[in-house]
Amino acid sequence: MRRCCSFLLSCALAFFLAPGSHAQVGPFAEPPKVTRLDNGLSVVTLTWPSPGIVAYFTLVRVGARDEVEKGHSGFAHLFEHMMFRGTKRFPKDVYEQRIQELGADNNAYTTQDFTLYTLTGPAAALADMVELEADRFQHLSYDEQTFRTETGAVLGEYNKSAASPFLKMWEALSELAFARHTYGHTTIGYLADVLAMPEKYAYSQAFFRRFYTPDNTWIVVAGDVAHADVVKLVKAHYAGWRGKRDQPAIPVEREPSEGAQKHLDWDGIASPQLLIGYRAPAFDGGGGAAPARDPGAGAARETGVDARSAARDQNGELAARRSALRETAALEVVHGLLFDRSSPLYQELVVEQQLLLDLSSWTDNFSRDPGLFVVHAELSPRARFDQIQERVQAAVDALARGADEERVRAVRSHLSYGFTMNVETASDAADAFSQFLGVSGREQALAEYLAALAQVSAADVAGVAARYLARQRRFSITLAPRAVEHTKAGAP
Amino acid sequence: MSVRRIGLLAAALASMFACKPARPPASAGQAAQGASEPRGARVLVEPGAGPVLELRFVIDGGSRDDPRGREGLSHVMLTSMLEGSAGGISYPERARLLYPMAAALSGYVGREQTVLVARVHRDHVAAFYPLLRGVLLEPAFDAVDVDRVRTRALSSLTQDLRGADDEELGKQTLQAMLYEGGSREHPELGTESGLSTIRAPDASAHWARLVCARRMSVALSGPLPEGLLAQLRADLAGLERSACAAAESPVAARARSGRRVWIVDKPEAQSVAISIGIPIDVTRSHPDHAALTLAAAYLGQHRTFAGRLMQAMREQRGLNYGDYAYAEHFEQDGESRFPLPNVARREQYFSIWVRPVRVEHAHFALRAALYELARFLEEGLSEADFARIQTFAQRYYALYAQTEQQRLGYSLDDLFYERSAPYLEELRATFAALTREQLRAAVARHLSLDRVQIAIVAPHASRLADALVEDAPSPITYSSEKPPELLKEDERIAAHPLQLVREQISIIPVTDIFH
Repeated sequence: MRRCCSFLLSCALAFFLAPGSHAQVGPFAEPPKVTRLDNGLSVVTLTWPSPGIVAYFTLVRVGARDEVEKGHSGFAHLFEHMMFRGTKRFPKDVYEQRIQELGADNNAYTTQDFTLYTLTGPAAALADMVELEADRFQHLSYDEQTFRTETGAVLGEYNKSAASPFLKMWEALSELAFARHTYGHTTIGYLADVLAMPEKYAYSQAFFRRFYTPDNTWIVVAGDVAHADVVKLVKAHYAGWRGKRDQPAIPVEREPSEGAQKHLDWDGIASPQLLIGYRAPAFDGGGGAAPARDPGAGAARETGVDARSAARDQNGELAARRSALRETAALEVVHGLLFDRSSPLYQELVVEQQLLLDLSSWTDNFSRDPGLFVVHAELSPRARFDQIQERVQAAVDALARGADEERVRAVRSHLSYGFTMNVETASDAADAFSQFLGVSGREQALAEYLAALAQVSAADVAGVAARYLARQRRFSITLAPRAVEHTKAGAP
Repeated sequence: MSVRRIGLLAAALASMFACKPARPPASAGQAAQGASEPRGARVLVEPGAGPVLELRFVIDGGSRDDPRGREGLSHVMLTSMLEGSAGGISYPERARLLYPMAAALSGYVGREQTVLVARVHRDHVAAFYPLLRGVLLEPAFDAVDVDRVRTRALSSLTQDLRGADDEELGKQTLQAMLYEGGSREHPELGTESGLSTIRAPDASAHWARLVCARRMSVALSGPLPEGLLAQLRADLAGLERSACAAAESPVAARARSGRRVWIVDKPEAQSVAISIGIPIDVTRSHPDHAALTLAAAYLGQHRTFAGRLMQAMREQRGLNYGDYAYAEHFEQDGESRFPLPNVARREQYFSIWVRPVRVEHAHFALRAALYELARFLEEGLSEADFARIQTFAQRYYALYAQTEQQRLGYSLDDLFYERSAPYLEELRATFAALTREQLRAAVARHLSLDRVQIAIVAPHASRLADALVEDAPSPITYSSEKPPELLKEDERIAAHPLQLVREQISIIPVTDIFH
């Protein structure tokens, strides 16, 4: 059975061969090398030509999704900030000094589903990088004063984003589309919660213990290094790490039976805008489950489950996952078909009729739990919200009735070539890989996704358009400057 | 550190043109470099190992070449080339042809350079090249396309720049101050009146003047099929016509004014954006450039914690998301922390970027930035700090050109600045060789607070202006305990004299800026 799994997988990959390389997956010439430590920490090394430079990224599968307690939105992101505030061994000034000495590029970002620490520096300094990272991920330590000061920086980040109406729209759409699930709030959090952060020192410390655990963490390395060397260093510095990830109960969002719409008045200058979110499936069908341990990969171990029942589960799981990935890939194709600049809808609305100043959609907006398929339109003065919304829906509905096979092929070609062309540096490679890993918990996710993409058919595309981009799954936010009476859709 | 939603497979931004049979190649050489003959396009062929053919075209000319009354014309011209008919093929048709290749055909306009980026996988070079050629050589500038592009540029200026991006607004306001009266004054997007006036024949005429072999430099790397280079050279040689003129020196800003403050009054702003600048005579071709760059790294290396401003304002005081300094005009390349190449200027400025602060902290924050700058100018930096920043910069700058397009861009900027040695290598070597005394001397030669220009985007602008003039102490309070030394320093900062008179402060309603 295990053989069967890996046979299917390699079939899927073989279907997507790039010329001349059997193991090629998108821009990656070889599969990732994976080692899992006894404490659950995973180390992934990606072969990536990058002389003298290494990207040493740390992926922690915690994000806004995990912020289940009311009044505590934005903590995964705040915590990301706190991760740079030092340890007893390397207080923040010392940590910063050491990073500077390496000449490393050191940053991080947080999403709904994961937090990624992006350290890129000289390959010759790998040992130093491992030492520094291992220390802060296990022994982070900051006082209350430091915490309170940093909340000011987070407020500053909120403020700089708040100049754009977009933040308000995204916040409103999230809330409208998700009544229960934690995707109902944004990653930076509600302003009220950000303003209240200075008082939550103890909560922030608990956050570290709850989510920054080895079983919830992957080290993803790309560049001028060998896996064996990375593993040796990681084992030396992280082996003592203990802990099990907290599993807060993430509320399950019910399937929508009807959509909703809301209008926002903007106090200031803005062009009228429409933000639509259709409730979409999860990236690979996974929900709030613990990180999957895939027996098909690298050196993972079974943990006391009998082989045959594990194999049965694997087959069912595998089939479900493949089906889910196929839907995700099909939806990705929908983005290209309907909303790319080359699409008929764009050309009609933006170029020919000039009803819109711009039309775009959120490509590769994958999420761990069922999320949103997002479309954004900027209206010209004579367009009306309801009119644009109907035009978008009409295009979607037409697609649901049938997609053009040749155009589907064109989108697939665009996506696969685009991947290769946009993943250039070691950091790009580590980042791309980590994003798929972050939403799935699986090292094979990227390869499986690309394999699914290679198989998407016109029927698949029409199917997902019909199933997911339906009116009853559609949530919309309209925004216009307060002074302008812009015929809000749905207004009496 | 930031929030981000996943953005993995970036959409290719392209405008596309359809195929047209290539003309038989003209003679492949460049124009002879006689005294009376214009130079031909410069072509740099660089080694590249990947599967992608990368081309980067830089035209010596940008918004500084917008005719008076047609501010924004360079931007409209380039965008109309990329998003309009060319070679008899419509924009939609081009888009459809280029889409499956995921090829990129994009660009941007700076004050003095106009950039066209072309990227295509080796599998598609033959199909791609004629489309690229069409954009450069045969853009149609149909009225319907130019008008649409113009309308969108107008919206970007009046809605997005004024309404949705206070940081960029602050930076553009600063530049308007630094270059006031000269051809670099207005934003690349243009002005409201300029854009309102532009028509298709303007765009076409501008192309005829600007997109010329004598003003063109191209760098390329990657898989080059047989004959392509010769074809490219021949096509570039064809970019000559009677309207072509050598690039003129941009009209210099009028004599540098003394200290000034412009406040863009934006009633709905929830925070205050601050940009500070000092005009300097130093560009990359100047021997003091490396020293000033190191000084900027010390004060505030972009989006790192290495800088003094970042430490003092964000790290210690939590005032905002970041505080940085620059020795030349800087634009971030996408989401990286590294600069976009080819935004070069012949007149540069040293600047400080204070990211939005709370309204009630704005006066203090402005003082803090100026206080740190003044302290640096007076006292320099310690030996320890110098050693630290020297090591850091020397190593960190190795990350500045990781992508092929960045590498090509730096080579092209070397042409612009007439540099013989590759910029980044020489910069890093100079960092290593500099002494603390040399850095101080360079700073003393070029930086002075006498000519500091300050751009602010804020609500209640007149209240802020009054406060700045009154110069009374502007203390702040914190939500946490602070060390006594910091509080002592706060007292000094809060009382740091700005010594401004009302005449030095202008208030511009946000609805009027860049009119």
